[in-house]
Amino acid sequence: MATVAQPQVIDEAYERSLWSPITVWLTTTDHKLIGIMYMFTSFLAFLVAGIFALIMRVQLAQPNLNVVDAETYNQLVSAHGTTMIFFFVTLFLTGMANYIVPIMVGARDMAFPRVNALGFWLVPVSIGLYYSGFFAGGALNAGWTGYPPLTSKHFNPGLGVDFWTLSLIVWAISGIMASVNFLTTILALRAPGMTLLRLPLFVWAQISTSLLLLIVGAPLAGAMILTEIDRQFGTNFFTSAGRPVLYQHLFWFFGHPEVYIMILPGFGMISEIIPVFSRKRIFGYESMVLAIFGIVFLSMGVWAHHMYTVGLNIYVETMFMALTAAIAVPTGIKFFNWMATAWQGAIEFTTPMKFAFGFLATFVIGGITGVYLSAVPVDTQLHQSYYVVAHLHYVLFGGSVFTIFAGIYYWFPKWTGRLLNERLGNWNFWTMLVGFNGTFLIMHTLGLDGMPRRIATYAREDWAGVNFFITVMSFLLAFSVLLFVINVLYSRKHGVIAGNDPWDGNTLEWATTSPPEPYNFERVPEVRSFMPLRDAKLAAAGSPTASDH
Amino acid sequence: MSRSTSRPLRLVLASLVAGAALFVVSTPALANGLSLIFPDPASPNGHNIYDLYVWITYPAAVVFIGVEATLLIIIFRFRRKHPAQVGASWHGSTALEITWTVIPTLLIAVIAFLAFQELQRDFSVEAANNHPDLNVAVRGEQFSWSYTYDQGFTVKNQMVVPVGKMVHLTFDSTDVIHSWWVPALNGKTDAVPGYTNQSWIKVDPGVLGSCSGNDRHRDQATGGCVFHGECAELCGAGHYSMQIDVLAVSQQEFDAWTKKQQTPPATPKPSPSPSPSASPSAGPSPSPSAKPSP
Repeated sequence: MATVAQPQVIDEAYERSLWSPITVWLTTTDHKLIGIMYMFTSFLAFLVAGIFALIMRVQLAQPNLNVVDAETYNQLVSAHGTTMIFFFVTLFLTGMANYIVPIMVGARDMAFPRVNALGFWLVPVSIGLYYSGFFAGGALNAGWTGYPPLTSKHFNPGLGVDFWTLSLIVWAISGIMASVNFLTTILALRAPGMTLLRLPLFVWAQISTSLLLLIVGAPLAGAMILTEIDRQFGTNFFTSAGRPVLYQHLFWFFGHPEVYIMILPGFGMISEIIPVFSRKRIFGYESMVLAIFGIVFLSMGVWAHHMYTVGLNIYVETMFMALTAAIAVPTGIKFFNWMATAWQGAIEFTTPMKFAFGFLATFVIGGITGVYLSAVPVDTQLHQSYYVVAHLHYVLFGGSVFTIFAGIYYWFPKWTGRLLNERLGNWNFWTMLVGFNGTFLIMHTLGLDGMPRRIATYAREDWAGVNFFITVMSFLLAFSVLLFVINVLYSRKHGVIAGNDPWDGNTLEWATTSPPEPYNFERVPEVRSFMPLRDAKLAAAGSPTASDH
Repeated sequence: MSRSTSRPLRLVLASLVAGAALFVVSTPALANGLSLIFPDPASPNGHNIYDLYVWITYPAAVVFIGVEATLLIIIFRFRRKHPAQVGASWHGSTALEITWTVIPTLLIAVIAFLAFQELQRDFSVEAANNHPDLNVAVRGEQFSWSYTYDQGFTVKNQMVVPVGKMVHLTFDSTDVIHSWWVPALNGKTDAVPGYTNQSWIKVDPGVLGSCSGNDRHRDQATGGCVFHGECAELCGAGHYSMQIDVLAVSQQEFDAWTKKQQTPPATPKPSPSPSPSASPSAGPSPSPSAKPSP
C-alpha cells in the first residue's frame, strides 16, 4: 500500500490537479489519478478512431470514389475497430471503474496500487505498438478480427500485423492485471457492513467484467502468439496448411465475451443513474445481480455465432444459436427492471438521465437485431453485411457509448468538483441521438440489400443515396462529440460548483468531497444496505432506512 | 412548470423532425428499388430464409413497439412535479419478474425451433446432396471466382446455371478466406483454404419471365437473368472488386452454352452428353472436384 505510506506526495498531486508537474502523473499510484489517465488516453483514441470513421464515410459517400485507396481503406477499417474496441471502450470503462469502484466500496485505494500503475502504463505501450504500424509501411489491414491466412506472412509481409499482435498481447496482460486488481479490491477492501449483496450494481458489473477478462484475455493472447509464431517461424497453426478456422474459435472465445466486457459496466452505470434521478429504489436488485451472471455464463458459450458460414455441423450451430438467443432473456430482465424502476418515479431529466433513456431507446434495437442474427439461416444472409455493422454499432454505440456519456455527465462533478454545463449537455444529447440513429438505422437496409461490410467502394448506383445520407449524419454525430469536448473544456474552469452530492445520490462516492481527498474518506462509513448514503440521509431526517439486507 | 411541459413537446418535435428527415431521405432510395427486407428470393432456400426473417419480425415488432411506448409513457407521466417529490416505494414483484422471464424464454424457444427446422431443411449436408442435377465447384482466389463444372471445364467471372435444376455447390479457396454471397439465391458460404464447404441453389424458372430488381438484370443474348453478389469476407486490397454474377438460363440455352465451353479446348467428344437430367437418382452423384463428406 504504497499510497497510504506516502500521503503527502499524493496531497501535492491533488493541490495542483490536472496541470500538476508531469512527474506526479508519471509516478502516481493513486487510483483516481490513474483512472483519469485511463480516461484521458482512451478518449484521445476515441477521437482518432472517430476521425478514421469520418474518412471512411467520405470515401463511401458516393460510388466509385477514390478519396483513399483500397489498401489505406482496409487499414482505416482495421484501426477504427481495434481502437474503438480495445483502446477506447474497454479502457475508458476501466478508467471509470478505477476511479469509482474503490470509493463505492469504501476503500482507500485499489488493492495493488503499483500493479494498477503498471497496468495503466502498459496502455500507451500497447497503443503505441499498434500505431507504429502506420509509420512502418502500413498498419494491420485485415479488419480488427485479423483472420488468417490473410494475416499470414505470405499474404501480409509487412510489419503492421506484427505490431498488431504485439499490441494486443500487451493489452491482454494489462487487462488481466486490472481484472485481478478489481476483484481483489472488491472482495478484500470493502467497508464494514458492505456484504456482497450490499454492493452497488456498478460494482457487481465490474466483478463480472473482471471475471470475463480474466478468463478470455489469455485465449486472445494465445491466438496472437500463435499468429506471430506462424509468421516468424513458419509453423502452420492457422495457415492454409493448418486450420484457419481454429483461429476464429480462439479469437471469438475472447471476442464475444469482450462485447459483454464493454457493455456490462454500462449496465451497471444505468442501474445507478436511473434510481437516483427517479428517486426510486432499483427494481429487483437480486434479479439484476443474477441477470448479470446469467449473461456472464452464457456469453462464454456463444462464440461460434460469428462463424455460422464457415461450415460447422448444423447441430453444433443449433446449440450456439440456442445459447445466443438465450442471452436475450437476462438482458431483457435487466431492461424490464430498469423500466420498472423509472415507473412511478419522480424523474428529473438531467443530462445523465437523458443519456440513460437514450441508451434504453437505442440499445433495444441492437438487442432485437441480435435475435435475428442468432438464427443461423437468417444470419447466413446478414453476416458480414452492413446489417451487422448497424447491429454492432447499436450495441456498442447505442449501448456502451451512450452509457459512458451518461456516466461522464453523472460523475464529472465528482472528478472535478464542477458540473458539466446542462445546456451544452442537452445539445450534446440530442445531436448525438439524432446523428447516431441517422447514421446507423438505415445501414440495416443496406445490409439486407446485399452491401458487404469492409468494402472500400461500391458500384451500385442505388446504394448512393442512402450512403450519402449516412455520411451527412455521421458528421452530425461527430459534431455532438465536439460539443462534448467543448463542454468539458468549458466546465472544468467555469462549471457550476458541484459540492459533495449534487444529484442526491445513494452510494458512497457522494459521501465524500469532490474531488475526493487522496485517502477518499476521513472516516470509513458503516454500511447497512446497497444505498448507504441514502440510509444516512434518511437516518438524519428521522425516517426509517431502506436497508433490508 | 412551463419548463416541464415544454420539454416533452420538444422531445416529440425532435422525434418528428428526425423521423420526417429519415423518411424524406429514404423514400427516393426505396422508390429506387432498394428493398426493405432481402431482394426478392429466387431459390427455395432463399425463400425459406426470407420467410423465417418475416416470422421473427412479428415478436420483434411487438417487443420494439412495447419497449419504446413504455419509455415514452414513463417520459411523459412520471416527471418530477415539485422539487421534494419522491418516487413510489415499491421495488419488486415476483409475479412480474417471472412473467418477463418466462415469456421471452418461450418466444426465444419458438424462434430457435423454427430456425432449427430451416437448418435441417436447407442447410444439412443431405439437403445439399439431394439428387443434384449439376455440380459446380466454386473456388475463390484473390480477387476473382472460378467455377468448375461436372463436364470438366472451368469458367471465370460468371457462373451459368439452368433454371429449375438442383445445383450442388462446393466451395474452397486457393489463398485466403472468401465468402460467396448472392442475396437473391441463398445465404453466404465461406470459401476457406484447406477444406470444402457445400451448399445448393435451384433458381426459380419464373425469373426467365420476370427479372426485375437492382440486384439482377436481363441477359439479352440468352434471355436469362443475371443475379449479382459480392465477396463478403475481407480478403485483401481487392476485396471490394470481387464481384459475383450468376446467369440463370433455360435448359436449352444451358446445353448450348455447355457445348460451347467444351469445344474450344479441342476435346473431340462425339456426343457431349451433358445429360444432367439423367443423373443417378440413387446414391450420391459423383463430384469431380470435391468429395462431400457427410
